[in-house]
Amino acid sequence: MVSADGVVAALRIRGLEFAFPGHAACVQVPSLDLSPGEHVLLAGPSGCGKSTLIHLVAGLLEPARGSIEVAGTPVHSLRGSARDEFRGRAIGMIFQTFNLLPGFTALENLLLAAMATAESPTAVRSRAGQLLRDLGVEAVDRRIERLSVGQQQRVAIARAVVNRPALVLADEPTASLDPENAVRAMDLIQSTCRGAGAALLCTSHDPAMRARFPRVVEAGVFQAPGAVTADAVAPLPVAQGAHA
Amino acid sequence: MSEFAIVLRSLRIRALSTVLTTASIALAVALLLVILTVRDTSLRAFSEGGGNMNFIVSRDDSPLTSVLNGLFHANAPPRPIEWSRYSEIRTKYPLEFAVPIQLGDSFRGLPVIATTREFFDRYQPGGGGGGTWRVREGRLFDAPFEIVAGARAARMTGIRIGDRLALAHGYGPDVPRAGEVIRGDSPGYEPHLHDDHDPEDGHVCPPGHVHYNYTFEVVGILEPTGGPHDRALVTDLVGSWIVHAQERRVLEDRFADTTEADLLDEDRLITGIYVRTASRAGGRFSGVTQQVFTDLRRDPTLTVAEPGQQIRTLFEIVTNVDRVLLALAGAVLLTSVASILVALTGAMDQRRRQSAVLRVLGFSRARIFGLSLTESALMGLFGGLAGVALGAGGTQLVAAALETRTGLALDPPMLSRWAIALLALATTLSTIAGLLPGIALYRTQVAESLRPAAA
Repeated sequence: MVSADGVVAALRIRGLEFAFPGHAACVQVPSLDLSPGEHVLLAGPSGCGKSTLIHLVAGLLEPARGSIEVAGTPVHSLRGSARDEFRGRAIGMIFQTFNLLPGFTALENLLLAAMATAESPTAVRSRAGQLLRDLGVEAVDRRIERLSVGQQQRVAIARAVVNRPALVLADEPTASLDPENAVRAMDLIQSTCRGAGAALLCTSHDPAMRARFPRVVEAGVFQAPGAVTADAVAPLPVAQGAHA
Repeated sequence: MSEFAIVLRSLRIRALSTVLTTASIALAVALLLVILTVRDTSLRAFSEGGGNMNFIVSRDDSPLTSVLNGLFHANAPPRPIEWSRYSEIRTKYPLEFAVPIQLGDSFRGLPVIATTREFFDRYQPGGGGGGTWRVREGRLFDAPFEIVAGARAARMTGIRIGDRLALAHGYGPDVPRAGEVIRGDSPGYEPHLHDDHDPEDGHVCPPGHVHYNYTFEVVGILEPTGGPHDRALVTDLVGSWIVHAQERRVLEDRFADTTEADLLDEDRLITGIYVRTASRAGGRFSGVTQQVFTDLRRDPTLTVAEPGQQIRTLFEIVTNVDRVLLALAGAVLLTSVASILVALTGAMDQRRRQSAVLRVLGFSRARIFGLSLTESALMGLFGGLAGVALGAGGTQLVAAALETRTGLALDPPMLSRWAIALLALATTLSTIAGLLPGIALYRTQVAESLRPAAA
């Protein structure tokens, strides 16, 4: 969907409802937009469904209702491999536990992601290597399990932006870090996304994260499956707007 | 980065399990290959070995032993046939040929057939060489003490036209391999005439004893026939008689060189007769043949054996063992393939996570399924290739061991027709074994698999 000023939103959600099979709805998002390059924090307590929303946006879960568009493409209208390929090209993901592939080198972890693009292998290799070095990973040919945790995190961030995605989804990227390292990690994530021109939707239950984002969306009421009442099923983004 | 590289890396990550699984497939394929190839080659070698003879006459203990000794040179026949008895048989029956053969001497473990030119002129060897004798180099023997080497014998010993050979007495699994090549450039050769006999025990020629007193000149080397005679050397019967008569005469303190004129009836011995009865062209076993066969069998001192029948009997015995071995090897292969399933499902949590990450990176379900199948197929292929290599080497070793222990030359091919079939079988079975884990990965719920373990 193109906005009035002719800009395609990085993320556009309308009337989204999702429930795990056999349970009442646990994610409801009436409306949520991210402009290109915009950084938004999705805040809320653990277990409230933030990760579920991330997986819905990535097209890894099927919504019961509603639509999700990434860079103007309705994710769930794509089927099978088309959706997978779109995800690989247009969406980068960063996880709490990095989810890098052991046995592969730092560079190869990026090259795996780059297989979703039609770019020439030589160009991809060169760009991926440069990206890793820009992020301070010099040992690009070292196997991932032989890198320090900090270096692994940099590789995970590089992998998320190597295909120059429109949207980066970061799911609790600092949950396992101490406050000092969490700050460093978020600095790196945000600066890298800025450098790549990617919008960032980051989830966190850490209140300290709020200050880092120009806009915070409160994950509203999520509940234990099977214990849902009509009152309890409130829209996910109970608040939208800038939170300094 | 190619998908093949991803699969190879995935196999490397689980290196121990990959190596163990591949090794067990390799062993099973090698075992099957050895059994099948040896069975095929031995069946061919045995069934074609008889050539155009109808039967073989000897004084071996049984018809099977007669064929194994007289045709396949497993051991030196223990009891001789007198020349007078041979002449009698030759004149009494309507025979196309009755080729006398005397076995008992050897050169470096290879049998020496002492015979007449009829051996080359009338008898046609079996095997894949077209059934005819062809001289590759030199000529056939024309006189005593000339010798012709079979293709394999020449290759194994390295003898050349013009070499002179000192033959050894006896051959077989328990006999030392002896014999010498006497060349013009051989340093320090001195015939050991009279030196090697022990009159005390009266044993003229102990097994392994070298007949230095007479040497045989290599005058020809044959083309391969594919039959058992390829590993033999063929010489004139009279020369062989003279050599052994000389041994006798030495014991009698008669040291002058022996000539054909010195031969007594007791020297004129043979160990077998290749017989073909006179019959219509193309006839293999006619009524006349049966009549001669039956009549000869009436002599209790003779053993008459029809090679084809004896070989069938032998294979009926061997086939039962063969089936058990094949079943065992097949079971090993199935177990190995099942171990692929175990290896792949054993690491399923790790694989699910890896697949989930690849899905996030844009890999489709079908692509993940393909990667998983390729992984299991590659284990089968690698195992199969290693097994074929191992089996090819194993087959040669088994053939060499058989030749050493029994004297039977199989000459199996380096790569038998079973190699490709077994390679395909191992790969196919492995691919099938990879189906279940592949389907499990296809169905992997990405969102669930990406959750932190502690969450």
